[in-house]
Amino acid sequence: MLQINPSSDGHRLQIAGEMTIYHAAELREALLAHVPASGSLALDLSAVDEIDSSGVQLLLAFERSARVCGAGLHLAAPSDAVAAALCELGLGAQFAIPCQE
Amino acid sequence: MNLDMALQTFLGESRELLTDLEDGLLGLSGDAAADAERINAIFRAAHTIKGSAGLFGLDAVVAFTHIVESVLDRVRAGDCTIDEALRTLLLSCRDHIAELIDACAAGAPPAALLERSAALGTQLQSRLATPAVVQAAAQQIEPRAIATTTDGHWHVSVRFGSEVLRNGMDPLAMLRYLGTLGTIEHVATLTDAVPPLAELDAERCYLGYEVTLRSNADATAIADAFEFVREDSLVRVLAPDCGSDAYLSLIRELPEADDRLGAILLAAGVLSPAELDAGLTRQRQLDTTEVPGHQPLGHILVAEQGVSPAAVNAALEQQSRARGSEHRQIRIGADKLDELIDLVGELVIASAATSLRATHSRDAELIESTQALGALVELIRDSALNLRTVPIGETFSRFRRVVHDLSRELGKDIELVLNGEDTELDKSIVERLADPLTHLVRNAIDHGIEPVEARLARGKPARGTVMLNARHDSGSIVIEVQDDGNGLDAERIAAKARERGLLRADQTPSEQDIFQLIFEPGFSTANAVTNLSGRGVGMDVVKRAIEALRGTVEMSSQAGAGTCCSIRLPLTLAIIDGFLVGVGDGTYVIPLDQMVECVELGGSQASEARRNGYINLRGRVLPLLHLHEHFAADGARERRENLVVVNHAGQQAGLVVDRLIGEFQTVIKPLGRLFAAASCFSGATILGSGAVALILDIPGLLAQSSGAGERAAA
Amino acid sequence: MAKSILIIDDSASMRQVVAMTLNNAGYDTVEACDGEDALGKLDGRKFHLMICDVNMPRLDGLGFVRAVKDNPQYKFTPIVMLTTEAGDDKKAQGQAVGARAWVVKPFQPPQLLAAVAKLALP
Repeated sequence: MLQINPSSDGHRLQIAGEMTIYHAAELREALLAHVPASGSLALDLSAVDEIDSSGVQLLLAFERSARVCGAGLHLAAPSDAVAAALCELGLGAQFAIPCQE
Repeated sequence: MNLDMALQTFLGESRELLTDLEDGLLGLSGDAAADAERINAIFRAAHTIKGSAGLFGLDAVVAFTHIVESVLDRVRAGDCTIDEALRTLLLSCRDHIAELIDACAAGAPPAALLERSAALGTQLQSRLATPAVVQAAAQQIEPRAIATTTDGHWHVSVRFGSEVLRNGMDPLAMLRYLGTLGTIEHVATLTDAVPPLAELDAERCYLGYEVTLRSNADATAIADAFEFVREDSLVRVLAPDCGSDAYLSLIRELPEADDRLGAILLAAGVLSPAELDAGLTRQRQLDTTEVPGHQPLGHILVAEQGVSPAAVNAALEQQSRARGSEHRQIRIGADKLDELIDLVGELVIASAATSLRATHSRDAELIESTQALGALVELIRDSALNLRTVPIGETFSRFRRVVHDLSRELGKDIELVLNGEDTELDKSIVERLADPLTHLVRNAIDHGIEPVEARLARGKPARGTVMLNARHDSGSIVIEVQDDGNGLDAERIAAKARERGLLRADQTPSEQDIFQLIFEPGFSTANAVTNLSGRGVGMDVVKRAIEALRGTVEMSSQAGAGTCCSIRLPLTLAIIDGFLVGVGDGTYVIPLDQMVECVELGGSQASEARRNGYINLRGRVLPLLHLHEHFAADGARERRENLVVVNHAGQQAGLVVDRLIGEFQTVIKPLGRLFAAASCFSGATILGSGAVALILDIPGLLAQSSGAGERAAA
Repeated sequence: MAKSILIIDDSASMRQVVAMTLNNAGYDTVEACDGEDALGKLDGRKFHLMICDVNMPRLDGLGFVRAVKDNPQYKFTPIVMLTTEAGDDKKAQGQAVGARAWVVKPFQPPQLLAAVAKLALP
């Protein structure tokens, strides 16, 4: 299961469901259409119940694309699964997520 | 579902498979196409039996079926044909497998059956191209080299192959598995290779990571976390004690820029800035393209990347902790240290006396300053005692050689596992512990771990394990010598004890009490006196050595599964925190860490307690020892008595005393030889008033108390 | 929710012990007695992992892996193959179709559990 819901003003994007390898190609396609051209995009990951390395890779690539355009990306309300994965991989600081030492 | 039910399934299933195997062998017709299918079925039957038998630990079945399977594999590959002789041989093998399975499932296969395995195996060997396979099967039974493991900081470096994700493997899952082998202390994920979204192949893996793992697993176990991706990924595991050169060569091998990796290793605390800098400079000098105006990396980090000097220092500190190889040390004579400890002991007493006087004077300022002094004295005491503590690891690691040599001598395959080597205890205790520990380890190897054949027959792994564990446990240190061998035979011990007159014929003590009998002087159950532990030095010597250290020793065991000898020792020999109580005219010290609570005994309760020898404390029967009577003390008994509940190794009892005085820190003075027979005292101390107080030995007292209880019951 | 594992082996006792080991570790299990049976049991259900014997009647392990890798819903599901040391050529064929995790028989339950945990902790 994977769902992508952009807000009407284009400042917020919600991903819900599984950010796993099974949906990685589909998620990439969808995200491509939402790379912010300027300003900052809030990525709402509160409803992501499963994430694996492919999902983390997609977040990294998405952030990179935004940066290339001179825009920013920040994670709003990451779910426990997302926060745990990023912290375990030592990527908490990069996505401004508090991790327990 | 349990293992027994599954074993029943296996027995039924193997019978069917053996029937298939027999039908297949008898049905071979010479028609190539039909025979190919039959041979496949025959092979599959042997293959399935071997696989399942391994699951149940029926190693004798596995070893033999393996040879049969190897021959059938050659037949299947067309390297060998089934002639009449081979058919007859395979049919005998089929019958033999059936017998082996029944025998193994029932317990140990008899020697005759194993001999037949060997004989049939030899005949099968002639059908194999090289005897290598047979050797591999036999190898399982040969002792392997001793492996020892120690806790340390490993560095794991992985760059995943591009197809890893597509193959269903997840670097995050592997990292989580790695975490089950120890504690992950630092992770830096390499994201440099991840392209922007437009260029990303979402199913391709671009990641890598550098991980610091604190673990006592061995290098193979750690590297095996990545066994399923090893073929297309770059995996490097650096052992805890490897030098900075190993890290520098790692930097050279990996694809990222040297400075980038250097910073990661610095952050992980495995390299110091100086080492990194020296290494990178040396590298650059070796390179033909030297960078002009090169600055030390440590400086660059501080100057340009916003890393504070404090962070670099912290990394440096962490590094010394992580590698732990370069402690600064001063060597001093042990006698100087003993003198210092002795003086600190006197200081503690003098300080306690001063504080007592100050309290009596009711001079608030004096009380305050003596309290401050007292706190400092306590700190000095702790750090002085710390000077004399050493980790037990050094003593433990001596046993590697012992285990290695002895297991070779006896033809056993034994692994030594060490736990809690960082546990610190008083050096004087450590020194006096070496001999009893050696005895216990030798015992475990000699009498505990069974010969390889016996282990295999019992369905245990061929390799036995001897574990040395150390840990702190509520004011004591617990050291265990554990093996997964034979276990103690309670009946045999009891029989022996009766023979030796240590146990009356009508006595039937609990299993736990029977195990304790092996510590009685002159007790030995070894069938054969080997040249190892049976040198006339029994377990009684071990017990005496431990008791001389104010410790206790206890055996626990499960027949067939192993034995654990657990030694409980005080943290230090010199000073204890005590609780002062008055009995008659005398004053006594109860070690505070063995006290549970104090309860006032009212009039009627007191007389009842005196009559019964026990009281009902919140629904629990608590045996009592009236110290006034026990010590035949002078002086009148108080009208209201007090009960001190004490605890030792899970056993509780109540000591009835006349007065409760209060907590008191005390230096133990050994008792003279005159008191050697008084097992209820462990030492003496001098009070602030100059009077002498005896320190109660709780285990000794409890033993007396339970002895008294048994007499009362009889 | 517990992770779900599909066990495919023609030996009932092997399936029982494997299932028991995994259940005790906190995984859910579904058993199939060969490749055909296993394909039937997929049925759109989510599996976190599959454990598959190589040598089986009807559809063998390699045939099953090929079928699974062609199915978009299961093509990324990690598969642990159970094999014997005698099966090096099988292993090469398996690697070619994307089966990367191999556990050599005979194994003890803890070894299998470690292999599974490397791919998905319970």
